[in-house]
Amino acid sequence: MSAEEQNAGEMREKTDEELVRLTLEDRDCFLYLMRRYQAPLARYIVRLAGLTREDTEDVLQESFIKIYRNLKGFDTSLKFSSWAYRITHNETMDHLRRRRSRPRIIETADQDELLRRIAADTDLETAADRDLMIRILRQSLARLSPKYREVLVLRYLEERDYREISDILRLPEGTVATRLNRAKIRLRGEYVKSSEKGGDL
Amino acid sequence: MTDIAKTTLERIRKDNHRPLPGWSFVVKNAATWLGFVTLVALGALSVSIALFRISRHDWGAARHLQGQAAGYLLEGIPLVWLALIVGLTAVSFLDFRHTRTGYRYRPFLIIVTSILISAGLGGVLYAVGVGQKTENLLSTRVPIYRRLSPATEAPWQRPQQGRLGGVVVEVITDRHLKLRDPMGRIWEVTLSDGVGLPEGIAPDDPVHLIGFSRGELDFAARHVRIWRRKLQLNLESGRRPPGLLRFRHHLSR
Repeated sequence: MSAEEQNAGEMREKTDEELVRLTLEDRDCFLYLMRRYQAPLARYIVRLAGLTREDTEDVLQESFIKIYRNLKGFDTSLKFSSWAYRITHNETMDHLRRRRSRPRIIETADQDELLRRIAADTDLETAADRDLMIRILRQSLARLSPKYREVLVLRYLEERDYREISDILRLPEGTVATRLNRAKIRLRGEYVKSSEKGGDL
Repeated sequence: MTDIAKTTLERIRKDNHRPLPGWSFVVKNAATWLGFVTLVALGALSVSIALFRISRHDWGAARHLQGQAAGYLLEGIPLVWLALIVGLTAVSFLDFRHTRTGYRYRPFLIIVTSILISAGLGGVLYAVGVGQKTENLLSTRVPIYRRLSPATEAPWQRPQQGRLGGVVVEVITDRHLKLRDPMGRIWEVTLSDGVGLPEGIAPDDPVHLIGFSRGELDFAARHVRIWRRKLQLNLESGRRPPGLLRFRHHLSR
């Protein structure tokens, strides 16, 4: 085993907070923190905004640089992951604003997973045809405003608890709960509407 | 997917990015808190001035002002200050949300707390006379303020509308007196038939008269109200009137 591999192995065992501390002493340690988060954060950007691969990489790189520059401002009362997600979330939204575009829902396997989880938790009368249900749900989700879609993504795909969602979106936990409920109600409404027009889906 | 971690680290090295100094976050957080405290303090000052203006309005006179009562009552509401209190509360709420953990609190809780602090502190400032002093300072030094928020005695400087206020110069008979208005003009006041002077009325008593103007500096009164004489007498005799009336700022302006 090379020294580099051994070092990487040691770094993998360190907590986020330890890696933050080490990064502040040695810039190169940031690599291990980024390696830990690059896949989940890239997935989150795609789930949230449906950006292209190039855009996702751009946003992710900007997010990591922002995280690095603000490391000394990291509030240790938060989980590092919540803080990293918050910065990435804001960077993604800024990117959409700059492009003046709305988030897209792209068809991925985990989108289907999201839709199945939402369907299970939203008391939807599911269509007998599972594929049809997923299609209808996808259209319904696409019609939701970003503020509702982001809580659904964080809750059902990122599997974040209310406190973490609160820290990521900078909202009170009560507001997160309310927004999640409203998102489900709206989604159900859109789903019913789309189901009634099911033929043209 | 590209190895973003690697390319980002290379970019950090190449562009020589460095973590921002820790003190900059401390300063930013402190500035946000300072902003919140300042906004709440300004809210408290606004509350104290609003309370002062409310206390200076002769609310009891409304029942004698047939046809003008609604407008008169409305004049007693310090709308400029109430609007400012609402605005400062809104801005303080937004500011608090930007503190490190401010987002964790429900907006309702932040707004109610901000209002309660401003109201409590404003009550204290009013009680120690800060409201009155600030009101006097603004009305003498800031010309636009007088236009936005006329003096509390302004509703009683409208003889053409049947309202006249001032200080008794001389009680000539039980139906005649002389009054000096805030402009220093001396008015001859005659009481209408069946109207008597308040008991014990004496020179230097501030009064509000309701009636009609009969001509240049000539007023017929159908109602005479001594305005805050009791307070003045109490203070002159060295006794303290009860409750909030104990504060001398009630006497001025």
